[in-house]
Amino acid sequence: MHRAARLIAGWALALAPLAGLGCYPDRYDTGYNYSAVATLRDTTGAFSTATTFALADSVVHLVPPGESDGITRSYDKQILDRIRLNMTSAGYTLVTNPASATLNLVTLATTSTYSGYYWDSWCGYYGWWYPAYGCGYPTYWYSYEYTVGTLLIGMADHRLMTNNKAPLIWFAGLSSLVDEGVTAAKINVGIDQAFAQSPYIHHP
Amino acid sequence: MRNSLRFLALAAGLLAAASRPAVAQTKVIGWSYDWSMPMGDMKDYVDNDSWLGFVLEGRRLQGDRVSLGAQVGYYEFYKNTTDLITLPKGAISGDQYRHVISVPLMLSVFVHAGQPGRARPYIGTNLGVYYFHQTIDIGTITADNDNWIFGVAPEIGVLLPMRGTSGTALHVRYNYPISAGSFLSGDARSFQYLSVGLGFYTRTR
Repeated sequence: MHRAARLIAGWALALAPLAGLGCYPDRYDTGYNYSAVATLRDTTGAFSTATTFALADSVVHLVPPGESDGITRSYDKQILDRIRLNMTSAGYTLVTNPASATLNLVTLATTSTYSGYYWDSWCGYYGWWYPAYGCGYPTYWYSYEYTVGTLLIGMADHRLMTNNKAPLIWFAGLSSLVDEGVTAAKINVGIDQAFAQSPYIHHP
Repeated sequence: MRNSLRFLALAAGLLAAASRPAVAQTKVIGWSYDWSMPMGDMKDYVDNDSWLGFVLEGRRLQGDRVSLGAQVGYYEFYKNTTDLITLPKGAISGDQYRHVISVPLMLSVFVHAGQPGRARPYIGTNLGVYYFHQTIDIGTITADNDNWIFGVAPEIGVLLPMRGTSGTALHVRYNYPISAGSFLSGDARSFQYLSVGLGFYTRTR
């Protein structure tokens, strides 16, 4: 009997520390910021030889026709101004005619909540909004997930246009920057970070 | 695959070399609480020491000097960071929570010094597989994956008998999974860590 009691007590003591394991400690602590900035580039993109850029004059909201995504447009001008500022700071000259610019930038907003994002979806809207261009390249961009309000910035190289489609050579996704709780300061920080972590976007 | 076969061959060789006709087969069963320091690729991913480590172990002394045994461990490593993640074709920034669970399932061979009833230093190695569960949260995205990887864990320690059949144990173990698998970075990694443990054991014949 004593032997059995000792055995049970021993195993209880042995397994006791397991109670504190497997709990992902300190996950989502109070200071966790849900904003994130992802940038992807075409490594063959000729950023340094580009000289001019054009920026679409509105933020495209990716919603089916007739529906609303609930994203405020009150920050649209600020977003575009900040992108413009970063591009000129990187040494590029702003032009108003996209056809005469080496780089064409477009800005989009979405509140997709499903996992997995398909470029085909927004390419359709992109084409609808700006029919001279398209996308679909490169394919690895399909793997990102955006489950909350996300700001997307795409950069196409006009010099590589074929069949009225210019390939994207840079892409930025800024999550949690167009939904509730966003501030002007957070938007600026996010856009600045997208360019800061893409130092190759530079015209000497 | 070739590395896996090498480890299996090494494990079989060590176990065969250690196997001798039993003279006085003393069993030792115990557990330990481990502190761990990340090394190798683990240090690159989670550069934080861990106080979440636990090992259950049993070994059987084959005579006075050599023991064969088995152990299963559980370790967690985690870190909150804002380090920039650099990708081959881009980068990701933002608050991150990085987490790794490691579960080693090992067979062990040890050579013991000292005399029964007194402090018994030992040296040896553990061979087996590591299960790794790697997780990262960044922004609102969570990604994770699992890997089973062969590895070796050389170990030194000492068994310190106390009253009756119980005792305490101290050990230092270097967990060295081979570079294999497919981690969140998309390539093979070797998530190594050094563990220092304090344990308790009981002896039976």
